Amino acid sequence: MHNTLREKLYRLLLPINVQTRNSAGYWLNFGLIGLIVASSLAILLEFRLDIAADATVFQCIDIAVALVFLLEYLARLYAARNRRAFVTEWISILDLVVVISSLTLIAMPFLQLEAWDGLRLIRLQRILSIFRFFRILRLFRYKEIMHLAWVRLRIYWASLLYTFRIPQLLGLFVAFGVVSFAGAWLLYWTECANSAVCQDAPVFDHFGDLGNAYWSTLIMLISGIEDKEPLSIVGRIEAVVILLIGMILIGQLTAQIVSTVLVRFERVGRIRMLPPSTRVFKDHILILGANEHLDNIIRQVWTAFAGRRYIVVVDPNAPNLNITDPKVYALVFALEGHPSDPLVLERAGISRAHRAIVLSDPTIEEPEQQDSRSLMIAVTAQLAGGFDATVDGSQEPPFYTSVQMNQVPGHVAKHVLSRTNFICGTHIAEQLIGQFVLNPQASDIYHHLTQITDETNEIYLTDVPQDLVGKSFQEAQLAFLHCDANDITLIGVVRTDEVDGALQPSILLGADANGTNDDTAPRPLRREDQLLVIAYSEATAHLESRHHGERQ
Amino acid sequence: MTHASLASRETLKAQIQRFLGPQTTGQEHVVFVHASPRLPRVIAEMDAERLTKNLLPFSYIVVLQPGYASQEQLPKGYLPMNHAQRLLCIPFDSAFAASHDILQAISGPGIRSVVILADPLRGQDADAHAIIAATAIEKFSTLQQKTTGAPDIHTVVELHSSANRIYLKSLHVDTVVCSGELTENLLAQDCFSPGITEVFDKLLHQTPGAWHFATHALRADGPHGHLLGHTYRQLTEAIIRTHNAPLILCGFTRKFPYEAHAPHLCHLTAKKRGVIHNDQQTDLVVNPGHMSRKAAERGFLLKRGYDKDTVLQDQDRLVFMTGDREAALQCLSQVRLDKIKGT
Repeated sequence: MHNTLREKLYRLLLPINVQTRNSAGYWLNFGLIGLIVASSLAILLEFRLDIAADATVFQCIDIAVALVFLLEYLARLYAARNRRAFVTEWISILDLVVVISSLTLIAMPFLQLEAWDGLRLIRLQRILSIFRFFRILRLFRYKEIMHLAWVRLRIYWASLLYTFRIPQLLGLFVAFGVVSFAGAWLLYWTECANSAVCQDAPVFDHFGDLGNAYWSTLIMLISGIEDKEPLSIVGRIEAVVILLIGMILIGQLTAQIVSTVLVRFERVGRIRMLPPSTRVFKDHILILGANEHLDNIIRQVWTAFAGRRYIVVVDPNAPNLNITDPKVYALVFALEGHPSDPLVLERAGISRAHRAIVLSDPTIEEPEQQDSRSLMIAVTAQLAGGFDATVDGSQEPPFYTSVQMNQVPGHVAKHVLSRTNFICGTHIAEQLIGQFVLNPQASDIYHHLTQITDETNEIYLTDVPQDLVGKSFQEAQLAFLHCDANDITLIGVVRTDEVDGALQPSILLGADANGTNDDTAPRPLRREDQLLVIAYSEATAHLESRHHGERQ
Repeated sequence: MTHASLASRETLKAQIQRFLGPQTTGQEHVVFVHASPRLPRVIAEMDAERLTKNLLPFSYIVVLQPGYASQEQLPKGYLPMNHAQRLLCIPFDSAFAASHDILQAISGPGIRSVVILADPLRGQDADAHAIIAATAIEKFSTLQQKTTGAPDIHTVVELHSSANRIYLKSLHVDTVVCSGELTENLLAQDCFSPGITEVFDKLLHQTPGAWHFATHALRADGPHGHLLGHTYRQLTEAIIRTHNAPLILCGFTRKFPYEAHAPHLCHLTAKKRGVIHNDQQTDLVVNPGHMSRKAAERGFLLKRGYDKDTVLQDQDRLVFMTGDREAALQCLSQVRLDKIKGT
């Protein structure tokens, strides 16, 4: 499919998820959600308020909303890759019901319905009005983005509570309220009891009134300077106790506020600390350790995931980690603690993480020791993440781990740690130097492919699209060549075959991926294979898979 | 063969000339500046590649870092074993950067590349020394080009920190390899495409028949002249339709004069200083199409856009993946475009 209006519209109206890069689509989705919520509220208001005066306003809003929904439905129908499938989807049927009911209600005054008796007309109106309420169900179409927004809101709230120590402040305010209220009542009762004995003492009248007693107690608690004093001995003792409690409470409150302000000033330009309630964190990237590569890795991950994934950095020096770009670090949190401590990892939400990256410890001088420490952290991370190699059925850890190494690890480490990739930059650099001397022009290509930016391509692994299963590598290449919706170059296949009873993936590049020689037929692609593609973003690579799947 | 002590300059030059032999042998050599634990592995990679192509192995000259008069003084593992006949170590000379006589001696006609490795003994200062050495070599190369018309010396520089790339930009150093940057990029790439490092490892490891990236220039008067005037899509389709084609076309590069675009400050500064005299820049187009789409999406109407229907021109370089470069070039010269739609 070429880059037509239909294709552009399709991409614009795609439901947003964590991988989406299309910012226009992002805002359009948010706009439509806002419209659905606002119009649903408008319907509620219409019923709740006396709308005789504002009937025209509500009618105009309803017409506008119904027209937008109609346009949206038609645009989706036009852009759909499989229109028949689109029309029969339950969410599309709901869309249509909402649009038709709204438009029919609007058009009713202009329709010739004289033949209908009043009761039938009222019933029809009621049914259509009920259908109008169904528009709130349209939010199901946007459940992914709404979930995303909900998670982000919860994390933001948790961070706010933690940063401004709101629970502690609230606790102090509650204690203050309880003490002031209890103190006022106590003084009131004590003074009233004494005034019953000494009827001739007019001063008792001040604390004999509950409102005055409360006001004086507040002043005693906050400033201690109150010119009205209880006259009874017991009352005076109570006042002293209230004064002492006030000194403690106000001291604590002031200290909390001052320290929050000071910490805020101190932490300007530093990464936000992870709030204690981290259960909301899900599918985040964990970076275990911090060294000179941290900033660039955060930038690359931010670009790779279009800035839509949370990143948590676990390091003993976490409070001192600096922000270099507020935009890039908007979703980055730091957690103080050693990455080899399972409790710290648990706090960082290791079991719900999407990926973990282990960085070398810069405080260790020897490269071999750095590598050993990195391996230990990787093992701890997998164990803390719920992986137990000794139990059958949990052979695979829940997430992939990438470990920075100074030397290529031996087979033992690779065997023990499954779903773990060891990145040895110096080893690749050695190979690159050799390659660049022999093939000088290739340097730019490798530089281009190893960088993650919006302007460069990367190599991705993606599932075999449904309609290419059973096809040869050559046919798949042609399919990708002639599909201009997303530019993808197919360069190889990762095939998983059973070798000695165990599944072994093998990377086959170029013509090797045909799995053939001159005499045999090409080996067809299987569902469990993975394609190696050059694409400019992960979303593009996966979008193409989905596109092929939908065509099917 | 080693240079045991700081001999006189003339003796050193004579020794280098003796090592390199007469110019007619066709023996190629690579010069390494600084010995490093990485040096044996880099040499092994190069030897493996030469072996797979049945070519004569390179000879290697290693300019030792300051403070080391001979290879015996170097820490263990800094030089490859069993290369005595093909390896000459020369001590670093203060004249290396100041005067050009030693450089002239080592950059004979058979020079393939100068590889400046990061000096492991200098820690954080290694990049500064690598940059100084690169400056000296690039200046010498430019001077040679101007005075004798000798070809540019291909320079590869290894840096620790990517932040120092900027210092080499104006020098027009051919290739900068930054291990730190590679680590960062690969860690991030592995994060969303687990296992991708193995693909790079496979692409870069030199074994017979291993697939790797290569380029080839198209010339109107060359054996691939018949490909000019056709689109990238047509050529790709023709290659794919070839049974078990020994290459996969991935893109192309195209040269543009600098004057045609916005001023390239680094280039202009370098040119003004006489460090380079290259008036062209090159666009690398891998996986054509997305650049034009992204440019259009962002409203950059002036940005050059390439897609699959870009017509190949004279001087363009094809970017392809191959396991056998010679077979790939032969395939390109035999490829039939007349049966492809739109031709």
